[in-house]
Amino acid sequence: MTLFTDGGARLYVTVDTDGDRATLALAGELDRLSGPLLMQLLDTAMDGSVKYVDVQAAQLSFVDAAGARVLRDAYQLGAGRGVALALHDPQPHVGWLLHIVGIAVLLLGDGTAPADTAMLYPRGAPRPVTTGATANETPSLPPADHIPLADARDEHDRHADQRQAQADDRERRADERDQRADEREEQADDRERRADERDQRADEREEQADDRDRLAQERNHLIDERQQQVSAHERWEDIREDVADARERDLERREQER
Amino acid sequence: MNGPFLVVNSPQIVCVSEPDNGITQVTVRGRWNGALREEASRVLRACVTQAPRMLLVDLTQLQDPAGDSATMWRTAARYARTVDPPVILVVCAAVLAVRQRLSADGDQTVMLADTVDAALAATPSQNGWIAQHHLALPAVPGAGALARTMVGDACLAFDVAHLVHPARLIVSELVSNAVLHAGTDMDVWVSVRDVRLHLAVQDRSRDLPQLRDTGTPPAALQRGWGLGLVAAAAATWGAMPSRHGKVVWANLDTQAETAS
Repeated sequence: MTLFTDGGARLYVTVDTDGDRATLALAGELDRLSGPLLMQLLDTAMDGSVKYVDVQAAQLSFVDAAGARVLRDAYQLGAGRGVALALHDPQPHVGWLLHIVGIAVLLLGDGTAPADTAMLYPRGAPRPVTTGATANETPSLPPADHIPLADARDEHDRHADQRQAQADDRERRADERDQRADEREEQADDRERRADERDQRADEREEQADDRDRLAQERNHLIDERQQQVSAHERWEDIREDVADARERDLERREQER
Repeated sequence: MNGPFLVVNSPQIVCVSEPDNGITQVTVRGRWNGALREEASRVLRACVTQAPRMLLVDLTQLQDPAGDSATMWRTAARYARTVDPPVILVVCAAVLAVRQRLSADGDQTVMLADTVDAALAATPSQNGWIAQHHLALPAVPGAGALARTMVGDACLAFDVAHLVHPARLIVSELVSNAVLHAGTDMDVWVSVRDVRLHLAVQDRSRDLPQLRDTGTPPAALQRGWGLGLVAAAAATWGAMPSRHGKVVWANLDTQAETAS
């Protein structure tokens, strides 16, 4: 059993009506729990003779996805009744959130340029790749037949059978190596294709989006994330190549020692 | 927006995340082949990205008499070392052929252990965790608010005040999701290790609701703003099975540029 001494809803609202203008000053947290309460208040406020509703958000310390939805729904409800709802002075992180979900222009109007939203969100500078061991370019793969096949039929060799088995074994491994190289190439192709697809998706989003500010911010963010993920992927593939090369060198060395 | 790192259990790979002690255990079983290699590669990369302090790979039930899987473990171990902070990867109960290949020429890249228990015993507990806060919550509508308060306090205690806003938002959305979709008791962890602030929410359901939209940003935003916000606020995020259900996690960079 969990007891909330405050009922769990941590939003405080004062409503002032002056002529055709209602002002709601919000303080606290607008979330899944307090959202419906605010919706009721807004519904009531927009029921009378007001033409403008100002939501004063300077003291609003938190908004979640459900809270943002309430603000959008209230805006649309007002639009249906001929009431203009506007949000004023959101804190930077709240402004960032409204941009991300795409309702900032709706609620804040065109007058509020998101000049300061670029730094709203604490985004890390791209982390340097910490390993010095990985090569940047993909090492070219040696031809499949670069390991000279042992001549298993050497008549002077008394261990012909054994050598045949070794040759078979080596061939099997070369095949595996080939297969892996194929897979790697496929994966590289796949990666390229996925990058193309992602580009295409980004383009589509651009067409759909009605919030340019959000888009610009999103795209930067996306590029940033994508670069980080691609570099992580490349790191993995580089290491994988290294390991495969080392293994092959080891095989060759053992071969020569024999 | 970054796609989530999702791990689902399969007949051949079982993953268990333990956020309370920062250990993730991956069991790989059955015959080693190309398909298993691909799956293992994907799962291990997701596990490393989650950034546990230790990643245990249990090969007790793996059939690989020739040791062909060795390159996979070596690749994964080296990759785990490149992330910041490094993840310790221990290969447990590998067959002789795998061990021989991994330790050829005195190579110590890959840590080996006879059993999972031996690996755990050999590692100092809580090694590298600077601090961790935990909160157990029931599935009540106000759980998100309680989790937010805890996370905000934790960020202040961990001296990462600049991450308060994204951390509160992420945890709030994850807890709200758990209340809505799982409806079970849950646990929230906030931990800091080096440059990483790690947020984890565990519920008792195995279902990963996030799987329905595998990270395509428009769908994620349209279906539910909540996960879209998580993806936008976190550096990386994902979900994987845990001992009692599943863990949805998110990482933030403590060296991020601060807001204002």
